[in-house]
Amino acid sequence: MQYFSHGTGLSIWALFLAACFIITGLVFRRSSRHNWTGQALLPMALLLLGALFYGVTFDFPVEEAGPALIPRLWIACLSAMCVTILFFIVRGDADKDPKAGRIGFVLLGVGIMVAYYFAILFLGYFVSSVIFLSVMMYVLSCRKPILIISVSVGWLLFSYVVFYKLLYIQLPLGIFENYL
Amino acid sequence: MELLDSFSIGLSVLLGWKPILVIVVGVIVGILAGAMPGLSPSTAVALLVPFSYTMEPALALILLTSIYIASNYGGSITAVLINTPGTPSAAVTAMDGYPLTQKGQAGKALGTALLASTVGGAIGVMILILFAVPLARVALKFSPADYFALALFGLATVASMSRGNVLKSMVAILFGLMIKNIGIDPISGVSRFTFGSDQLYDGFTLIPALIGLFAVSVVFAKMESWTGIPRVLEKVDNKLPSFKEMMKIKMTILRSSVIGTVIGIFPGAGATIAAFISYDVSKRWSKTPEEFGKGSLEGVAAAEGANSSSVGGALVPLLALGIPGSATDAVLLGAFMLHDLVPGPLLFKNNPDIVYGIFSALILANMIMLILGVYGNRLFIKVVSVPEAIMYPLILAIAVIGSFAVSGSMFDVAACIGFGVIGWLFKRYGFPVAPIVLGIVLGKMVEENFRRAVMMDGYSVFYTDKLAFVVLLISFLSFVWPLYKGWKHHQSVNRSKVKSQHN
Repeated sequence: MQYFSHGTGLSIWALFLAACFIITGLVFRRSSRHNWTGQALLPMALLLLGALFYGVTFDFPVEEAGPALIPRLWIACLSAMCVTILFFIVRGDADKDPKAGRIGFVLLGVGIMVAYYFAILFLGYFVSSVIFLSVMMYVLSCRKPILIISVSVGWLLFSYVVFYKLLYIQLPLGIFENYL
Repeated sequence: MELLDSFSIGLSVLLGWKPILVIVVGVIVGILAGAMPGLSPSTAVALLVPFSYTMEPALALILLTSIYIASNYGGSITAVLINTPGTPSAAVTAMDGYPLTQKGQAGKALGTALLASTVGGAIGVMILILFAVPLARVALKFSPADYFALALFGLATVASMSRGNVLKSMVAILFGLMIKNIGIDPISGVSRFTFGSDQLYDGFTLIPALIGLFAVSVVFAKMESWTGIPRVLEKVDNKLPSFKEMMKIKMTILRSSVIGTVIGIFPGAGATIAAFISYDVSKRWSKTPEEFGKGSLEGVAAAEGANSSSVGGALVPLLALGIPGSATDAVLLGAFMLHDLVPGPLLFKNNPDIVYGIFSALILANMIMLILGVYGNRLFIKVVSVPEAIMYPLILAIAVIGSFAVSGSMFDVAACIGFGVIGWLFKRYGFPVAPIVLGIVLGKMVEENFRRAVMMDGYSVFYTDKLAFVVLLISFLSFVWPLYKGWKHHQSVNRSKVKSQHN
C-alpha cells in the first residue's frame, strides 16, 4: 500500500479513483437511477477523496496515536456514511436531484470569478474589480450604463480609501505596482 | 465582588467614542445583512472578520458580536414585509408578521419584533453572564479527554439537530474534519496531505474557507435560481405596539427569551429551533391561540424573543469552553484566532477586558438596536431594496478582499472561490454547509485532545474519566437516536404504502 502513498504510485491511485468517479457518473446516467446522479456523485467524490487520503496516510510515521490515526478514523467514518447514502440511493430511498436551474449561468459566474482571480494577478485588485463589477452586473441583467459605471468606480474609490489607505491592506497592484 | 470588578474592566473598554461608533456600525451592518434574504448572520460576520484584523482585539470582537446580535432582528424586516425571511430563524416571524402586513399593520409587526428582539437579546446576555462565568471556572479543571468528549458532543448534536438528513450532516462534519487534517500535524510536525504544496503546510486558512462556504456559495446558489425580478417592499411606519398591547405580550417575550437562551446553549440547536419551539409553547399558553398564523403580535414576539436571546445562549459554550454551537459562533471563533485569542476558560482569566467588554457591549448593542430600529427602519428598508444585480457582485468583490486580507495571499482567494463552489454543490444536493465549518473549526481541538489523552493515559481514559465517558455516551446517543427515529419513520411510511396498495 505504501507504493500508492507518494510519487508515481500516488498518481496512479489518483487516476484510478478519477476513473471510478467518471464510471460511476456514466453508470448512474444510463441506469434507472439517472434522477439520482448528482445525489450519488457527491458522496462518491467524497468516498474517493477519502480513498486518496487513506493511501497517503501510509507515508506517515507509524507510532501510537500518531499522525495517521485521526485522519484514518475520519476517513473510515466518512466512507461508512457515504456508502450508506449510496445504498439508499441505489434502493431508491433518497431524495432525487433538484430540478436543474440555470447551471450554465452559475458556471458563467464561476468562470468570471476565475477570470477575476487571474486579472487581479495581472492588473491588480482595483482595475480588475472595476472590470469584474461591470461585467457581473451586466450578466445579472443590469442594463443601466450610468449605474454600472457609478457602482464600479464608486467601489474603486471606496475600496482604495477604506481598505488600502485606512485599513492598510496591501492589495495586489499588478502592473500598476509603480504607479500607486 | 469579583464579577463587579471584572465588569468595571469590561465597561472601561467601552469608554470613548470609538467603541460606541463600532457598536453603532455593527448594529447597522447586522440589521442590513440580516434583512437581506440569502445573507445569514454567519455570512455577514464572515465577510467582516478580515476587516477587523487591524483593529484592537476588543473592538474587533465587539464589532462582530454587535453584527451577530443585530442580524437576528434584521431578518424579521423582510420576513414581515415580503414574507421572505432574511435569516432562517425569521421564517417563524413571517408566519404572523406577513399576515399583519397584509392587514396594513406592518409597522406594528416590526415594532413588536424590535421590542421582543431587544428584550430577548438583553435577557440572553444576562443568562450568558450567569452561565458562562461559573462554567469557565469549572472548565479550568477539564482534562484533554473531557475536552475531546465535549468537542465531539458539539459535533454530534450539530448533526442530530440539523434540519433534514442526519447522514448528510455527518458527512459534512467529517468532510470539514478531514479538511482540517491538511497541513502540518500539530503534535508530531509531520506534513499531511499537502501533496508537495508549500501553501498547504498551514492547511487552508479558516477565514477564506468560511467566506467561500457562506458568502460566495450564496451568490452561486442565487445565480442558479436567478429571475432578475426586483423585490418590492412595503412602505412602513415606525409604530411600536401600544402600551396595552405591550402588556399583553410581556409574558410571551419573557418566556420566549428564556426558552431561546436555554436552547441556544445546546450546540447545533440555534435560533431557528429556538424560534419554532418558543412559537409552539407560546401558542399553547396563549389565551387567543386561534390568532396564531393569522397575524398575532404574540406570535411575532415569541419568534423574535427566542431567536435574539439564543445568541446569548450560543455564546456560553463558545466563550466558556471554546466550543462553537452554531455557524456564526464558528466564524467568531475564527475571529478570536485571528487576534491570537483562544476562547475558553483561560480567556476569562487572561483577558477579562475582552470577555467583559463583549458582555457590556452586547447589552449596549441591544439598546442601540432599539433606537436605530425605531428611527431607522425606513432607511434600512431603502437599503435592502438595492437590486440584487448590484448587491451580489459587491459581495464577491468584498469576499476577494476579505480572503486576501488575512495573510496577503492570492492562494487564499483561490481557496475561497473553491470553497464557494463546494458550498454551492453541497447546498444543491441537500448537504448542509454549516457542519463543514464546525468540522474545520473543531477538528484541531478534537484531534489534539484525543491524542494527548491517549498519550497520557492510554485508550482506557475514555471510560475511566467519568465526565468524558458520560459526555461520549450522550454524544453517541444524540447521534444514533435521530437515525433510529428516521428509520422507524421510514418503516411506518413503507407500511402505510403497502397498506394503501392492498386497499
